[in-house]
Amino acid sequence: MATVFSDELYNDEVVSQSENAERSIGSLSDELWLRVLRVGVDGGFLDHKDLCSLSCVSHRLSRLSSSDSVWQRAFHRKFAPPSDEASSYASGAKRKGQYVGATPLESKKRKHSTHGSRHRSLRSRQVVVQS
Amino acid sequence: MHFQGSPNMAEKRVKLISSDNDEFEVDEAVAFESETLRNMIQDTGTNVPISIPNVSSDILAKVLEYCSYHAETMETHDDKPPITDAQIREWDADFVDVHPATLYSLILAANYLNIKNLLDLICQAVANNIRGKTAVEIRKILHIQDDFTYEEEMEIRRETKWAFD
Repeated sequence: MATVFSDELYNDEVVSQSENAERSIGSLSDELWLRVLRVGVDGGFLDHKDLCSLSCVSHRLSRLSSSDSVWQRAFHRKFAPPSDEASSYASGAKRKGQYVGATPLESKKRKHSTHGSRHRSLRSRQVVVQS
Repeated sequence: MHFQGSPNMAEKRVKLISSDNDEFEVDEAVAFESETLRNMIQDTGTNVPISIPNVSSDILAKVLEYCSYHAETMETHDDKPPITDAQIREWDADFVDVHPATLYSLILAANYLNIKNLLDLICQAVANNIRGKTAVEIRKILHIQDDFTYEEEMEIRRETKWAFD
């Protein structure tokens, strides 16, 4: 199910395979990463699960993907899906092209306990007990 | 290297020079897709070539390909049917179907040249690459070092467990 990132999948002759971490999306500035996250959430590409997966990647991505502005959008999209004009990004993305069959977030089966809550209250701050 | 924009000969042409000194010539309307270039052209006119010191020729060619196409979609021709939104979507999808390293260079170029629609398109493509992936997969495809200690990793997994239940 997961896309495999091998070079032959792309119609791309610009970049050779000898790319390293310095020229990777991972090294984008905080500002551009936040843009990726906001546009991704608004366009329906990223949901709360993806944000939580990103939190587990590294310290920096944990900090960026936990930002209130990103989570507010994710929850707003999930629990109060924007009407056609409500979100300029989302409507723009829809008009301009959900270029690869993006499906809107399913509005299903989240428990009421999380409804409208802020992200930080959802992340339990348990003390790690090492056995 | 010359880039063919629209064949409208009355249009002013703009010369652009990439970081590796390749020269590109485009219609003013194509350059105007970039807010940065628009401001530069309005300041200095089209007589002087514009240096773009932080964008290489291969990436600049891709960016100008995008600008040319999107400038063209704005034009109306009597002899051709207009380009439909579906066609634009398909073209855009094909445009960003590139290696993540190319997306990285494109995102920097689009940001510097201030081409909002291109920047958002690439951000969507990056987000789409991330979507549905586990943390381990994301580290691998984006070349990100795992800098958590074992204890930190266990804690963050506990904190985010709710999302995956």
